[in-house]
Amino acid sequence: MKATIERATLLKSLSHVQSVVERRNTIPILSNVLIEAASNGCVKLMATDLDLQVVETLSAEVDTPGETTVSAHMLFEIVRKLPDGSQIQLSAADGKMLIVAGRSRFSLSTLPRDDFPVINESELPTHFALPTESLKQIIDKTRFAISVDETRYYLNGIFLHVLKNGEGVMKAAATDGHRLACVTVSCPAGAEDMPDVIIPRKCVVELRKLLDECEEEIKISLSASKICFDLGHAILTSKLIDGTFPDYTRVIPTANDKLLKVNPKALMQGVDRVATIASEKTRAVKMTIEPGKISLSVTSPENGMATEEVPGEYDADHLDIGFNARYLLDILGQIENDVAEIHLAESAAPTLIRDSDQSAALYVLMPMRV
Amino acid sequence: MSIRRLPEDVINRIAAGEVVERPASALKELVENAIDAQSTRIAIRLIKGGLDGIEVIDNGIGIPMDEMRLALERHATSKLPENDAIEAVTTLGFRGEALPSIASVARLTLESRTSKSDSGWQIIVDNGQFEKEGIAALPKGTKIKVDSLFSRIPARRKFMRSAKSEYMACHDIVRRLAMTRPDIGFSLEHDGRRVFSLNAGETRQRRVAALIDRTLKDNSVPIEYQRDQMYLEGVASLPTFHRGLADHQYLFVNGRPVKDRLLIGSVRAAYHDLLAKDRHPVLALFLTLPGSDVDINVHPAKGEVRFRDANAVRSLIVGALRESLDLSGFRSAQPADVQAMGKWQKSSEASIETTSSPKEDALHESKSSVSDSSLLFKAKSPDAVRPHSFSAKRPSPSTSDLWSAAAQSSLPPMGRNTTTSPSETSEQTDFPLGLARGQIAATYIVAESRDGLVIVDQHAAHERLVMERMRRALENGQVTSQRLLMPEVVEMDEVSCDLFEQRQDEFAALGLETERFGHEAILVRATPAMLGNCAVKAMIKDLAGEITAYDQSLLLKEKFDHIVATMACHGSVRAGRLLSVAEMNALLREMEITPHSGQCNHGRPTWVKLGHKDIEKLFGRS
Ligand SMILES: Nc1ncnc2c1ncn2[C@@H]1O[C@H](COP(=O)(O)OP(=O)(O)OP(=O)(O)O)[C@@H](O)[C@H]1O
Ligand SMILES: [Mg+2]
Repeated sequence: MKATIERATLLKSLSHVQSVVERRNTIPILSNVLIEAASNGCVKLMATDLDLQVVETLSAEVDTPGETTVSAHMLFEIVRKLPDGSQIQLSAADGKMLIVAGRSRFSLSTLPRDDFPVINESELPTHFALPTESLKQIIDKTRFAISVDETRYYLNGIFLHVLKNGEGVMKAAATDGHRLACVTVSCPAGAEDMPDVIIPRKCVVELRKLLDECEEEIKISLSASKICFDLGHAILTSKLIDGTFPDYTRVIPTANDKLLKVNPKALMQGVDRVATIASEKTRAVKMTIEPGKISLSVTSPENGMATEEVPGEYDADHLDIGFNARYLLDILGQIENDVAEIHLAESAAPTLIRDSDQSAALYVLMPMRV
Repeated sequence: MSIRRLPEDVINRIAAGEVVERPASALKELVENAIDAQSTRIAIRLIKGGLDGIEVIDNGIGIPMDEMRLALERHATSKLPENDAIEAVTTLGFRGEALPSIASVARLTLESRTSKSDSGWQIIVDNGQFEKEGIAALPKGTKIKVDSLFSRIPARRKFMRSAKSEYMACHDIVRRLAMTRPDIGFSLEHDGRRVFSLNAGETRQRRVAALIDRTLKDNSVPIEYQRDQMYLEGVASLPTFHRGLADHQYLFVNGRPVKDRLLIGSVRAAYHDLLAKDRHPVLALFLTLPGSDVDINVHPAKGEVRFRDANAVRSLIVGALRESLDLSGFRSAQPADVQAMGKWQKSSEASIETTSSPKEDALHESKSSVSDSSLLFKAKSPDAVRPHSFSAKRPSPSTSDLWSAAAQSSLPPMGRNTTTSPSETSEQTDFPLGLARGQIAATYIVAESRDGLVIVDQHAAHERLVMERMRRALENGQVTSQRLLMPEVVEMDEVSCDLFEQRQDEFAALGLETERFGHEAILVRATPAMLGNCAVKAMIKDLAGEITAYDQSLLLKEKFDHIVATMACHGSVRAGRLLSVAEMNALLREMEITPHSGQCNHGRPTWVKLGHKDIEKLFGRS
């Protein structure tokens, strides 16, 4: 194998590829990136952690087609340190890969390509295309709510499903048991009969990194156990979480009759300020809601107390309710409008937060007893 | 009215009143029979606490076909020796009453097969009336099924408590019997659910711990004691491991579970000045003595016995327990102290090192103290390894490390170089923990009090203080709890759920809101906010386990402490952080006014003191 690649191109691809590789690996081949140079001037870089696989395609000058595997982090570090604008020549022979750029030469040991585990991207029955913007929205608005509790592995990802009632909507949801985020987009053609899937967090994170440089549409194909995102320059394939996502629709309140309209930025700033003195673990903020104003308060046995008033539109009965400040900030941070709608029922009931009834995203937050 | 002999079935039913009070007593008889039959594996199945069915299957010697009818007759037993000497009985049964009694108040299916016969035989008796018999297919051993217990005796049936409490009684009986015979495998199933399964051939310690509490193994002393012809063995909890109820005291005489007042009294006497009045040890004691020295026929089922020489038994038990406990006390405390003193002496030799600059001198001194002080604590409590402490894992910190550490510190020179102003000297008399003189290894505060030298473990002490502070906050009603979006259903066995449910309100006070959810599950609605996004299932199971294992009231306080402690731990000054003298003094003053500050949340000391006398001893001055 012999190929020459422009440093910036190689570096960008490697940065994507190497982040899939787990740092502490017990299986040596999994630390490696697979490099495949084809005679048509394409070089493919592939990395995997056995659950998630990324393949990046970049153009290069290929003298001799061939393939090999070398340490992904090592190669990334080398390329990163090479001067900008250099042409990097990779050539592999006899269990070594030679890297030459300007006056630098590196010789890395390689592992045979045949040992490299590959997740098959083909044979996925469902195919559809999603606008890049929709996919970004799904990820950006839900991923903060993904659970990190590994005992509830089925919450460790974004749940994606299509309503089977013919309404033509696709929904994405994530929850950690304390809050829920849900985004509704219109169902793309071809996805109508897709199985419900849970996309693991790591896949979501890596996918999001790749989305900014993407074309209009992302081609998605999936089965009940695998999902594949074709982003043009890169293909991301992931195993899905094998579990049942709880029926989250049950917990979205539909009869919360107390509507509070508030400027999300103002509320966020207020919450952030009073929460300064909250004890680190609980971060409980109490909201006293009355027509015309919201009083935020925090009482910490350790540190003292803080209060702040935030204006808001509200004409229902007086209500005291407590929230975890961090959760509230996470959600308010997602609101794009100047007004957030906070639909309340009572101090122990789930609270619904959204931009408006037109918005694609909605959030449910469970209160705290304070 | 003329006197007449009672018909057999009436006699049986009267006897049954004594022997078979409730499902658990029938079960006890059946399991004892299985044990007597030299079984190595006994499987017990219960339905609705035994009210709707009891089944005991053993792999013992079986009953020959032609003796099966006899076995169901009153006062028919195979267990009395030829000379009918009751004293020589080595089996659990000998009266020949159990089976006929049970059969008179229930429908009893007896199936059995000996190793000699190539098929089994079955007899069914319904409330004392023979129903049918015939060939039965079963492997060698005996299978007894009891159902419709008391169905013809409504009065008795009415007195039965809930299936739950009947089940608890059955569980207790099986547990006791399983303890006596670690050589036999036992399994217990309730309403189709496996409660436990114990392998044959376990050690007694293991079996007892498996049945009472896993942690007992590390909190108990083995008892082995012989006096004349009496032999006492078993497991007894250390005085630090106790309960509010005396319900985990398992006493056995010649392999028979007993609830004898003399024995209970002896245990109390042995622990008398080691435990508070309302606390009770956890133990299993097995007393073996010649059959002629004990009368086990006091009451057919109550488990009372009569000793020929009650005083001897009492003094054996008290003596054995006291001696074993005292020994264990010596083991954990005194030799460690001696060892620690040894370390001190060694360290003083090591620190006499000539060095060029005073600063370096101080550093060297602190260096040697690093390893010494950690050894001191090690010797005292082997589990005292803290993640952030400068432990013995860092035997020789390099000078540059120390230099950089010292450079960051706002401290006066460490160790003895700290100057003492006269005013401070007079002040120190006011403070039990004295005035801070410096910090060693960025982990321990060294203070001088009127009567000696005080060393404080800063992390342990601070953790304790933070915890006490938090506790106060909680007591002031500052508890916050986070409601769950989807209530979590935690499945557990019924008994655990029952116990959990009983404590539900107290958990709620800690922010853990739960509800009973069917027989075998707890529904969690909210969790203590201070725990963050915790693994609810694991926590509930932990809590349930602890409630079952420890005394309930004690537990709550402990669990409460534990929760708070976990939190406090994260909010505390870490070992390894350099403190200013003002900070150190503030910590000492707060410790003096905070209750229980002498012990960290894990029961280790937060400070130690070396009196002037001890110091003099170290230098050979006394
Ligand atoms: N599981 C069994 N395996 C073998 N033989 C048994 C079994 N159960 C009962 N037997 C036989 O049936 C007889 C009667 O049992 P029963 O329990 O009524 O009396 P016991 O055990 O002799 O005395 P006790 O009334 O004190 O229990 C026993 O002596 C024994 O021979
Ligand atoms: Mg018997």
